[in-house]
Amino acid sequence: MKTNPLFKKYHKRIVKEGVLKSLFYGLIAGSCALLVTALFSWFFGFRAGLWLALGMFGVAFLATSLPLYFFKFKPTTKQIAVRVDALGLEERLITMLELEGDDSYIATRQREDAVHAMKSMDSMLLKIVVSVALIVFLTVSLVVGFAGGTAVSSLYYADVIPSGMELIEGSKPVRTFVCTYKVASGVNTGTIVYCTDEWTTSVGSIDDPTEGLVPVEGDIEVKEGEDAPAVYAVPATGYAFVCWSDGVRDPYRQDVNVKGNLEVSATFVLLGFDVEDIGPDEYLERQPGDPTDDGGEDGEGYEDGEGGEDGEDGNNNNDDPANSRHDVTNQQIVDGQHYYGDSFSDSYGDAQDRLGSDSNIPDSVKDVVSDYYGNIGTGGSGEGSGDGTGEGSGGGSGLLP
Amino acid sequence: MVTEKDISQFSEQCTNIFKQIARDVIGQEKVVQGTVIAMIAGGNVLLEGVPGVGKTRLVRSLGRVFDLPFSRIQFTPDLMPADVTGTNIIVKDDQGNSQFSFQPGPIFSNIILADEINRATPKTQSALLEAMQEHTVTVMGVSRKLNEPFFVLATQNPIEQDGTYPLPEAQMDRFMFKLLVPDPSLEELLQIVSLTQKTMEEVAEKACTGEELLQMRKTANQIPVAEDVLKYAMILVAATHPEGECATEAAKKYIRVGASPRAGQAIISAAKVLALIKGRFNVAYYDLLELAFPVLRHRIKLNFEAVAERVSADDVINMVIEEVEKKYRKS
Repeated sequence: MKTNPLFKKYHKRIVKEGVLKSLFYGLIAGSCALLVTALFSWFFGFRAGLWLALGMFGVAFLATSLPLYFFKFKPTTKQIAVRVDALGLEERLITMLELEGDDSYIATRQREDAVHAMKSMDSMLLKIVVSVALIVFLTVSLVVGFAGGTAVSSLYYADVIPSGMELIEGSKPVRTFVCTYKVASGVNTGTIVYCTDEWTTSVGSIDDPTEGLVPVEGDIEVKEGEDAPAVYAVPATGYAFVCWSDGVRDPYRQDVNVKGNLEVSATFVLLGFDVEDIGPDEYLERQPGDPTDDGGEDGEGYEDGEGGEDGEDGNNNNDDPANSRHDVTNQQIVDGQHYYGDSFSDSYGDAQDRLGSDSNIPDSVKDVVSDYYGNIGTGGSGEGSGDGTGEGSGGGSGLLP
Repeated sequence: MVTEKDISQFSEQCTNIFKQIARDVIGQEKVVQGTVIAMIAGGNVLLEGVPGVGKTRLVRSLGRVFDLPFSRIQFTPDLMPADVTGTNIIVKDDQGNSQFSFQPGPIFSNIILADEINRATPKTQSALLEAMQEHTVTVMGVSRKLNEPFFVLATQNPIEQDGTYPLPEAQMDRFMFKLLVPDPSLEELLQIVSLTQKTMEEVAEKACTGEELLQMRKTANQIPVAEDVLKYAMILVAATHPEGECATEAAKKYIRVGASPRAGQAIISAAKVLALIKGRFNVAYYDLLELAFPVLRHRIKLNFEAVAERVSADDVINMVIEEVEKKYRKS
């Protein structure tokens, strides 16, 4: 609608008021949108929440203020007339607008009267009116919505505060599980059936009355999701490590991401028993507990049986000979990045070099060291001491040249 | 069609009317203004006030100022309708034949002063109904038109209610205004006594004729009313209805029966006259608010709660106006 020229000086002020109100409502809507987005992003741990919230602020601001201005606050000529009339013109202007086009004498006089009254009025009397409630609401919205929302997003973005989900998770009670590692008994007689290709054995070097030991033997409390300490099944002199009761054939094991109680026992056998070397397939068939289960089906794995997850969590359950041990998480040493066989190989290489080159080392010491590595190294690592595995384990590879 | 001459005449005559009335009636500006507005707008007026405040004198002065035939009817309990309207009497013509001849009553005048109207019986009060609304009188099946302009200016005393008959609602509704005539102020009292010590005679002179008064009415009727203002007036009237769509809380609490549509007609007609008297060519909200009290106070029927709480009609109207202002204008 074209503005009546008579109202021009009032039109500008009312337009300003309309724009101001639209902006205020836009800011309120934007702040609310920002707060909601920021809180959602923070709660669900969305890193780019700050930028998303600012984007939502802009969208809500525009989506609110523009329609509000054009459909609600943009003043029409009649609205201007009503506002100016309220300044004391006693409805002269709205009547004048209704009489537009009326050429009767009374209408003409009415127009003259209205114009005269309007001219005698100062346009500055028309105040820009914004309700106190709107200003209060805007202030609260900006403080709580905009400032609060951006603060939450920024703090989360900067890792100062955890996400809402993390907070909720953190507030839950932590479950503790028991990991028990022990030595199995009663299997040191009879025939040892093993597969030289796949079955890692260790030859004991510790003078122990039993068949072997697990240094951390006993109950270990581990919080849910955390890793159990690394354990190593050490056979006694004349014994060899066979496997863990859950089928893991590596004497070294570290159970990671513990999700339930665990009880495993290390099996040692007395060397010199009848040995039947069979192929891996047949060996697996003969296993009463079917070690190919990897403990994943609750067989001998975690007591509360987390099914496949336990298998995936890995521990030392990898039976697949095709897998490189470097790639298997549960074959890594405590830091989860280095394969313990490599560490052993490095250490073994250093010892070998020093024993060969350092003439200051007494022979007795060299013998002890050599025996130690001979006993451990040949069975402990698949690749580091591959040549000493199996039948070579008896004499070990030795360090002395 | 209104011309410049009509407007200037209206203005001059109004000034003159108020000037002349002021010669006989000291103070009571609002009452005088209300009465003149009602007369220009063509409405009847009920004046309520204690004895001696100048009600009758005002009406008599109006008769003189407008130069119109004036009848005074003193309403008493034994007054009969025929005493007001007139009746057929038997007369003999030149040939000696008897025949009925209508003998007009005092109502056949232009300005009727119905003094102490509430002292007459309802039957007699009702004799005025037709005259007040249709400006006709029907006697023995024959309707007779009253002379224009025709006004009933009634007075009643708010005290001494023994032996009185409250006016029926139908008759109340036919009064455009109910004006409350207050006691004069000390200054006004001094002037009244000073004036009447010299002479009791009314000295007001003719300010305009009946024809001129009718022309003033026509002129005032041409004053435009903006749509919003008209709607506001109707809301104001509708807001007095306790069960209407515009019902206010005050109406729900204190009003038993709200104002009739005649109130809407009356307030707009009167507002046009008031605007023109003020030199404005349009009706303003303020005109409506000013006239709401005389237009509505006798048209609303208060309930028992209002009576028990001693809330007057004006108090209720005030509450209604406040609510309507807040709800429909300030929003």
